[in-house]
Amino acid sequence: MFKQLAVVCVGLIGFSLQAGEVQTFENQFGKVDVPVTPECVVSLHDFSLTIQLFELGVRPCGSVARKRLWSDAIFRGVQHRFNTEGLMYVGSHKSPDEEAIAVLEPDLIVGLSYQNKFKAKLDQIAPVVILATKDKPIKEWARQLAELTGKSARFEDQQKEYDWIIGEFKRLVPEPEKITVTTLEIYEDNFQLIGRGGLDEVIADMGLSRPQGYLEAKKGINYSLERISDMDADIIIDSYEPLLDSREDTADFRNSAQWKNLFAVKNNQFLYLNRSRYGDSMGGLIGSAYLLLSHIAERDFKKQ
Amino acid sequence: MLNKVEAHSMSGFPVARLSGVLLLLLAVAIAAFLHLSLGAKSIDWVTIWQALFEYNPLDMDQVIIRESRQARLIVSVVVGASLALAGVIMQAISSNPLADPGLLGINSGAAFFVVASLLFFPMFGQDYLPVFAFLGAAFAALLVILLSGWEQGSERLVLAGVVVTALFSAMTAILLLIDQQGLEKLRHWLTGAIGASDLKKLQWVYPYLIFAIVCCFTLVRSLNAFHLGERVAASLGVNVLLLKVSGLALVVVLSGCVVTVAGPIGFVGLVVPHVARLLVRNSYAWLFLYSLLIGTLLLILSDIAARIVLRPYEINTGIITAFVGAPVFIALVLRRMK
Amino acid sequence: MKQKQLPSRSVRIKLFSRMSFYARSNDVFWLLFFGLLLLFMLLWGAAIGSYQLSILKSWQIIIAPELAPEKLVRVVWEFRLPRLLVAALCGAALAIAGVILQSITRNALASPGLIGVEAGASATMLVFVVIVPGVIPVFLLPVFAMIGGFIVASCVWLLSSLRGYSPIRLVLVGVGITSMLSAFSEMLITYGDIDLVESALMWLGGSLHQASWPQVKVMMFWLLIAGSLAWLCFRQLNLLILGNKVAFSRGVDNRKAVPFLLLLCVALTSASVATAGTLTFVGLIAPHIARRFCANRHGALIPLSAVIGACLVVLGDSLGRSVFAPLQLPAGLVLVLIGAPYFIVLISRLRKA
Repeated sequence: MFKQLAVVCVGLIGFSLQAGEVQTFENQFGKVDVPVTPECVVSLHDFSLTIQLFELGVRPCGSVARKRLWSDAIFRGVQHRFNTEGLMYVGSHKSPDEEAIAVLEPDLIVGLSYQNKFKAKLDQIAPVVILATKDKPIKEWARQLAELTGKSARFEDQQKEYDWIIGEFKRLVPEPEKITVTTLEIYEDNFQLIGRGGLDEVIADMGLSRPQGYLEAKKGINYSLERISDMDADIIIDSYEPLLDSREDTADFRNSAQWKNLFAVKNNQFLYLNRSRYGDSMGGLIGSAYLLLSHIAERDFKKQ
Repeated sequence: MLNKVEAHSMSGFPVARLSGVLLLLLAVAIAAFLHLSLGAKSIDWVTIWQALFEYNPLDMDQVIIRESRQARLIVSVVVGASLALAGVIMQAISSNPLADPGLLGINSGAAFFVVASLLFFPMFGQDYLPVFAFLGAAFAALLVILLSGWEQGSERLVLAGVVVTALFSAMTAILLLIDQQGLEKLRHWLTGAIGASDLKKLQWVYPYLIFAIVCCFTLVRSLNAFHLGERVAASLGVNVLLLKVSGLALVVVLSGCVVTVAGPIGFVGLVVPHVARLLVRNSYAWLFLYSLLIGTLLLILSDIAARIVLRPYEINTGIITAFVGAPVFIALVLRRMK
Repeated sequence: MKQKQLPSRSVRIKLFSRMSFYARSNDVFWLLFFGLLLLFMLLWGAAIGSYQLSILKSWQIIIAPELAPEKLVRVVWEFRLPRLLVAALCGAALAIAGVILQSITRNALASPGLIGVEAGASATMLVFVVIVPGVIPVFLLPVFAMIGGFIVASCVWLLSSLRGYSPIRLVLVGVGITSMLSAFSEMLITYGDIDLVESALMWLGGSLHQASWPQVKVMMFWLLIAGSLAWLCFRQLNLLILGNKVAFSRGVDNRKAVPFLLLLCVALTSASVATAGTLTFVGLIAPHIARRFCANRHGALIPLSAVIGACLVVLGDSLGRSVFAPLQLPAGLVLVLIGAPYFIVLISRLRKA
């Protein structure tokens, strides 16, 4: 009789372990006990985490978004690719509404490094995992996110596709370090050196190089448009935000002699992208990689 | 008695004042050249001369001067002149040496109405922006008058201005929080930015500006009389109420235009009249002329400073004028208030 | 200022066995009324939000948390209550500071922000968040903000009293320095990382988003100490408002009293700013509203303003939290919106009367 009791006990224990299976996730922000297959994930950043979750096949139940006056919240980079019905808006990424998150009763909350200060409050609703997106490459935190949600297989597929593109590029372009690329964003009276959609990471992976002016300059500073000639390169990539009419506002500069004198512009090697097209996710990396592959390796490309 | 005064001023040719004007013009010209030569890249004076008079479109330096710096210079000149005139009139009609469109909330009101119109009424098109700016400036001025009662004395007017400025700044901030995309776009403009693209905006407002500047000079006689005191002015046949209302309207138009083009820039209207009064007195015609030139000079120099102080950052001109003007304001307060 | 003359019998209030003082029954009535209003608003604030609760329910959860479901207890006790309490305490502190400043300067348009404390605290906070982030641990930021506020306020005081104390000069010099510091703050806001900047803007607008229980304790400490000290000086304030000479003839030396009161004002303001950011208008409006009920009797004016200030900030925060939910508007900005029009109407009516 004891034997049967033991079997039943073991069976019961095994069953209970499976029902609420928990794993420990650890990164530089600490250890967190998270469920193995979370059912309701809340993302605290729309442009990277939410997009990546959707790409992994996980439908988050809530996400932060950008708000336009009188219109619904916009989940940047997600709305044009995925069905966002049922995705709840939980506030801005600078101050997410804890109550709105609590209403959803999530079992996992993911955020970025600058949102670490919300962890104390949000920890009471659900386990909070902070991922380092600023200093680490997209591949790394996307892998961590896949592990968290049990979708590592899907991530491996994305990684495989990306690696193939890089391989293709290296095959077709023998000396990539001789090609210079500038990624920037031009505004009405100044410009910043930003590469959206993981472009900077792709450029580094492909072995492409940057013009001297770019290397000496700093990120995050608004430079005067007069300096644009310092950033001249074989190919220049700019992006615009469709919600903001930045295309129209900067049209005058693109008609100016200063601009038209640039090597990249003279040789039709200037790309102007919709900023929301590629998010900061594996999908963004893949898209940007295909972009560069096509514009550099698959056509008659002129170098300075 | 009056005939004697008139006779005296008619007999002597105003040599001193005229030479002052010429000196100022020279200073402005030098500053303008400096403005064209300094910036992200230093360009020598020969190139500047060539760019202005023997333009060669293939020289990149000359292109920079023609395309971006020249535009910025023109905008600075216009903004400086308008703000200075607005300051002179404002101080005259309120008999308050501390009056300034920025301190009295007129700039903030205009800025708020512009931001609101961009967000709420995008269908109106950008040509209507100056109109919204005028409405905002007028509304803010009315509020200040309501709060302070106009004659009350220096501190009440300034405090009323502080309250009104806080009100409109808060409302602008709320709008930008609700419309987060707007924040990125308007951030620079809101602290008083002069950029090459503002030349385009100048085209919408220059008719109003020219009209306003001309009207200023028609007020000279009444202002001279008003300077002697309200009763004296009334006895000389000046309609005091009309003077105050038209003066305020001119201030609204001038400030509104400046805000539309370059965002709210303060303290110029405070500092310039005081400097001008050190050089010239008793005649508003000369005061206007001197203020025009000094205002232009001040703004060109501020713009230069804004671009080179914190290389490679370019600070907004409105911030520089605040750093220069606020200490002047404090010095004025300490000197005059007992 | 004209006011309805209600029959004002004095009420004798006994404190401890020996101390008792006289208060007008009028004042006591209004104090109790607004106290109850504050309580009601706290309950209402605890009830609204993404989890809608009825007021009765929120009362039950506060009184007997063991009996309520854990989810709701968490929402009320961890999210809403600390926020509401910090709002009330900051509002009270700023209102008292406003009363002090308006009475010292004998000027109805003075607000605690004018002496430069808020601008100093904001500028310090911005420097440590945007320019050198990470140098100071987050929990020490409020302390540094306070120190910054103190330094600026002392500069204003020193500058304006170089040649003898003048309330006008104090206020105007404060305006000048505030403008300069605002320009500096704006410079940091424009050139900082937009991520850091957005959160700075939230804080500058008076945001109680990060309110927590430790902050409640700190704020309560400051309010009790500085606030009661201010209350105890009610006689000096009653006299100061009549003018320097009158006050001096009754034994109040304004060279000693004013700096001390100013110090209290600065302490209250900088504690509040360091905790919740800028909530400028409370210090301006709350005293005015309170004065409609108890004129310039500071014994009643101080506590009444405190309670009204608390109500205002709780209202502003609750509205900011719920009107555009889940987008949060900072309490300070909401307050300006609802307070300023009322204030303008009030002042213009006062002048006509």
